[in-house]
Amino acid sequence: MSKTKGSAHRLVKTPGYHIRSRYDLHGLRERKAGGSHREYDIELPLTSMIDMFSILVIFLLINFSSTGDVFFVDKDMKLPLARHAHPMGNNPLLSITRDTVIFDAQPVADNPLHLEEVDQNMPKLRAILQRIKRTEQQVRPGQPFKGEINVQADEGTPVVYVKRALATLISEGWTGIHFATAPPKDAAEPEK
Amino acid sequence: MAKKKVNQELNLTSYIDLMSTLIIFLLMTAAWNQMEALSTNTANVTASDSSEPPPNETKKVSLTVTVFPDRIELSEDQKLRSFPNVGGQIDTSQIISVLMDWKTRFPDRTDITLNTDNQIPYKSMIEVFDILVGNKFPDVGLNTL
Repeated sequence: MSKTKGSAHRLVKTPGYHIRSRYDLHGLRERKAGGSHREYDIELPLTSMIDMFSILVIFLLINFSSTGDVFFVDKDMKLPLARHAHPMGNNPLLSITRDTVIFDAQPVADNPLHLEEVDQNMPKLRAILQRIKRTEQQVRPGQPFKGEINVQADEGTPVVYVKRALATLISEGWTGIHFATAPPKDAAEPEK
Repeated sequence: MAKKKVNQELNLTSYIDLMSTLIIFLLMTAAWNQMEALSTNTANVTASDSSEPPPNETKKVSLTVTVFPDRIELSEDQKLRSFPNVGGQIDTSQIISVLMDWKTRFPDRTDITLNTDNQIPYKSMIEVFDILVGNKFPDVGLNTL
């Protein structure tokens, strides 16, 4: 650095530590500068966290269902409310809307506009029901066919469409019919 | 002889990573809205309705509820009671009083037949179904005709 003519002192000095000693954090400054040679070997206690993780994973794995069909509710479908229902089992799902009938996400019949034109015959649904029943009987020979099925329908659907599907189910031996409902907002524990 | 350090630490980083990923996945795919159901077993109802009672057994009283768009009818064999809808809604208090009366007189009966008009919405059928189950008639048989 060049000196000013006629001057023996440096005009610009390298700034030093300028916090006044009154507010100085000596310990921290020394530690940052590496002045202290003490070892800080801090360990996080992870035992409780791993315990919690394990319990959570086990709980979620038990409740995990790889088939989400049972819980599939169409965005346009509003389920009727019921106070005395029980938890729904994992059975094939038949969805009935004003326009169509869907069996496990596969359309199987249309609901005609005029109720008078309703045809009781639903060949596609009938064929699927027969196929599943055959498979069930082959898998569990000698055991009676339970024929359990979940039925969900929009609350505004005319009952005639539901009855038409029920008639087909019953005629094919699917007699354990569970109507999907939603619990009311102020639902209390059902009476035993 | 110098003492050898035996304290070993498990490296838990990968375990915690795996657990975190698994928890996030399971939480995202969990079904939180548990659906409920009202059940009917038409096989029992059809069998009991169609078969003739044994000669030494007294004939069972037929308890039937029929839902119409404007009223609801509760029949005990030939004895019929009709309750018109109040403000477009089913008169639940009247139905419950009749069901309680039936339950008092026929304490062993749990079966009842539910008929519905074709024009009523599905909501009305489930509403009546729910009332029947809630008043100790859990074996509801649905008439599909």
